[in-house]
Amino acid sequence: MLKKLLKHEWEASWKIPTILIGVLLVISVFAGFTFAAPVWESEMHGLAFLLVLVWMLYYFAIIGVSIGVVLYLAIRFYKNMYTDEGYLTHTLPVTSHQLLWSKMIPMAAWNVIATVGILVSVAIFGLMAIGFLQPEGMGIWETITYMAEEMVADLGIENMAAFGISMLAVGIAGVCSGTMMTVGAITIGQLVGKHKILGSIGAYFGINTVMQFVVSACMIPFMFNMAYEETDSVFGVLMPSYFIMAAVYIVLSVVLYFVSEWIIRKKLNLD
Amino acid sequence: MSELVNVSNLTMVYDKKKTALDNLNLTIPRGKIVGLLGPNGSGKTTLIKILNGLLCPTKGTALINGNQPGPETKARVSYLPERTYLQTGMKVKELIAYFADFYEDFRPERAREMLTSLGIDENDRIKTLSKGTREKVQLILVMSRDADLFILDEPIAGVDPAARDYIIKTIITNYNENATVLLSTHLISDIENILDEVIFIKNGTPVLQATVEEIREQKGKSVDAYFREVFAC
Repeated sequence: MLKKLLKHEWEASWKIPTILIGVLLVISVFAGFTFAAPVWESEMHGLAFLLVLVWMLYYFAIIGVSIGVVLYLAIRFYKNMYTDEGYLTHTLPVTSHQLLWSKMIPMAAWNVIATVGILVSVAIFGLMAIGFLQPEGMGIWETITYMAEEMVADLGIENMAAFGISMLAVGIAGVCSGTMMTVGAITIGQLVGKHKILGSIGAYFGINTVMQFVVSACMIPFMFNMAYEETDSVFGVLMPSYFIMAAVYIVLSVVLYFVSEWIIRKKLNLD
Repeated sequence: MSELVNVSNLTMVYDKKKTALDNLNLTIPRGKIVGLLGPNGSGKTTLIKILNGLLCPTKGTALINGNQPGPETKARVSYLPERTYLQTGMKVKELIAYFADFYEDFRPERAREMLTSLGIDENDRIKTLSKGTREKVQLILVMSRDADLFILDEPIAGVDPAARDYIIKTIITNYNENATVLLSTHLISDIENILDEVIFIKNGTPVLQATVEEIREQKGKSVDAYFREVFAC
């Protein structure tokens, strides 16, 4: 049944996020072309203003995609589970676990796809900028290699494998917690009598505050270490804290999952 | 086991103060069309929601085929709520595929026959249909199942008399004799002729469960007239 739920959820939800990401990619190409002619050197102020407008449009498109995809899937989850549509959703012959997974998996997948889409868009924009500007007479790949080496040196990354693993752990945990915070907050909000949407928003900020507090508390010892230890490797000092952060995200996600499942199974009350 | 539905000591209290069902006990047999009748706020919809697993009771149990509401019962219960639950972005044919995917007892050919007889195009999106047509699509989907129990919550409220006749005809022609139809309404005169049994419910408690024949013979009244007498303000 989970397969069928996933199939229908995917079919119903792929269009809007795809359009949003597609539009972002088009805008990034459009914004990249602004480097083709050095209009900032022009004496026509209107052209420079236009340039700023295009970059602002690109900036807001990135924000729009990152927020838009999450918001669209959150609204879809809310409508599908807790409004009139819920009368069908909750009378399907499936378990509450299957229902939750069928919503969480596409949500997490779209979080990843949207992030990849944004990274691709930034890469397009950056590559076009490098390609058109050709800094210091270097080729595109030489420039990228140079910038990557600079970044690695600035962060004091001595062990690339550890860096990769820690970023992957934080990324996976971030996707899990982002998804579960949305699902959990909307579901917890259903316990609040007649003000369920307000309850969901309140729950979201409440959960977020708790999570930030716990993460900050875990980070403090490492911050002290960084302040008092003389080291060139900022990353080396902070790396253990990334794994702790990932663990906090995962624990929170698991707690939110079981709370949500319990509410759906025991406290469901569609208006 | 002759009873299809067995409800015992069922109590539902909303927000710790409003009692919707009060220690309710009843059984519903197989193969009958049963009217769940009561004034507004009597607890009909609450009982129906509990039977469909949309609400958890404060106390007591509701069993269908001996099971608590869950995936097993949902596979055998076809439910028509009093509101439209269809996703407006979906096409009618997508809904048929959706129902066919999830309910093994769903009969797509039966749904298509009914849609054709009503002149509803399968390629239409729900959002392009009128409210009345959406309700008909929903009824067709619900009645195209070979379920053990059909639970219809106010199926004829808010529709015109012609649609009302169509709904009643659909109910009679689409359920098999081993299935039970439990339908709640306060428009009793319209459905009285198709009912085998009635349950009168008041303030969350059943005040009468009898066959239509018993009411007519013992009270010398129609169900509608007797309902008006029992629930007179």
